[in-house]
Amino acid sequence: MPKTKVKSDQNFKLFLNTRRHLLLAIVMIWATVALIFFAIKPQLSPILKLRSNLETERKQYLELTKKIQDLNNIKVSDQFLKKDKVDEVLPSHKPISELLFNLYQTMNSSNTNITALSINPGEIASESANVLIESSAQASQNPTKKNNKKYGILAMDLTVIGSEPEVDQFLDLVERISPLTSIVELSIKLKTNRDDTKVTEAQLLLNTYYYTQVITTRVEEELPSIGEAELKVFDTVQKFTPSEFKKPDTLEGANIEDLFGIKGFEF
Amino acid sequence: MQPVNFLSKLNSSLSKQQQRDRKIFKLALIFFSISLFSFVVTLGCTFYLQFKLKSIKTQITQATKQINTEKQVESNYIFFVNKLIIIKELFDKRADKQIAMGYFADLFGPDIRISGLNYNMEEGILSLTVTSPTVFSLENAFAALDNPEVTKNFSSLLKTNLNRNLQGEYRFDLIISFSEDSALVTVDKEYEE
Repeated sequence: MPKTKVKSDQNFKLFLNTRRHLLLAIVMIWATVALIFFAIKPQLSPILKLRSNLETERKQYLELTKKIQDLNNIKVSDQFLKKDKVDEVLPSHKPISELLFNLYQTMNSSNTNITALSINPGEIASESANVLIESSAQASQNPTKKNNKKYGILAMDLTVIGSEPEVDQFLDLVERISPLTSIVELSIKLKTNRDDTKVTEAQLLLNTYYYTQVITTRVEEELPSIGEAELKVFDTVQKFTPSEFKKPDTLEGANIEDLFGIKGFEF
Repeated sequence: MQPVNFLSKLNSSLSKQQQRDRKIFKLALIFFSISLFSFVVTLGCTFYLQFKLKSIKTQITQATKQINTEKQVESNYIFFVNKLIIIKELFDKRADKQIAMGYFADLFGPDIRISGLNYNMEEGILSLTVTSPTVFSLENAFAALDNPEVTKNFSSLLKTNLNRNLQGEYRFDLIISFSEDSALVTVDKEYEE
């Protein structure tokens, strides 16, 4: 063995024996640096991301629990239990039969006579109020797909005859029937009958409103709240003339063998 | 024979160096321990946050399912609120007409009657047909309409189409639209009915 090699081994052993702690310190410093840069630092940004995700999810969870709570409260709220009256005042379909029935009821209670009536219902099977259930992704994809028209109008020309107070009463009552109806044109004339009695004739153009807006429900969306003004409207609507209209559930004149009944022909 | 230690100085310098090394080692150990502790803490945080996130996601799924079962109630409620908002809007729009009818009936008195109306609800323009039995009550009506206390409530108040019919009655059209700050316009009147 060469002399230099033996000397170097001895020096290294001496160095190991005498500077052991320094060597360990150097190893530890490198291990600390490695820990910081390769184990701790890479975890910091995922932790921050996880925290912010958790915050978002927690917020969403709180909103959902609030919504569940709200839905439970709604089911027992006085206003919601009486929502049928609101549906009656602003129905989700063209309310032709209801309007005619309630006009007849108004005519009877004001002792007037309807001498002419003209209505153009338009499309009977038009689009009525629908519910769109969509996810937030769908909502952002189709922002303009919603039906923005809130209500439809059913126009009716009407001529009413009666004494002046009776016609006045009719005019007063007609705006408080369901479905919601407004007088948009009115012409009042005094007419003399053949027996020289004077009658008042009112020619009216009535607009009756029905609901057409399509709504969108999303799980994460908050429920709308009812304000003071809407509560007032709700109370007013409850005072509208009650309707005795009942939706027919039988088809009258059905089960006939000859649909047309033309003499000489059998169908 | 007296022993002679030729390395006595070397030993003392070595022990000083070793003491310094020990100090450096201690400091390195402290830093290492701190960083190891930090590593354990960050690892723990990651696992804890992942666990929390997973459990909250499960809760969200359950809550979503519950809301979906109440979909019918939700849509009925939204319809209900929307309808109330629309009815309010319609009430507000037609309030102008009700107020104007009442206001002018009071202003003109019992002799003069409002025999017609035409209401453009969208634009808020109301046209009233006013019938007066005599020329004197017609003059009174015109005087009342020219009163600044009356005109201040309207952004436009126009008298047109004055004519006299076979029965000797005077008839004219009154086209009005309320000013924004009119004290007369309060929708409460509609709600009192």
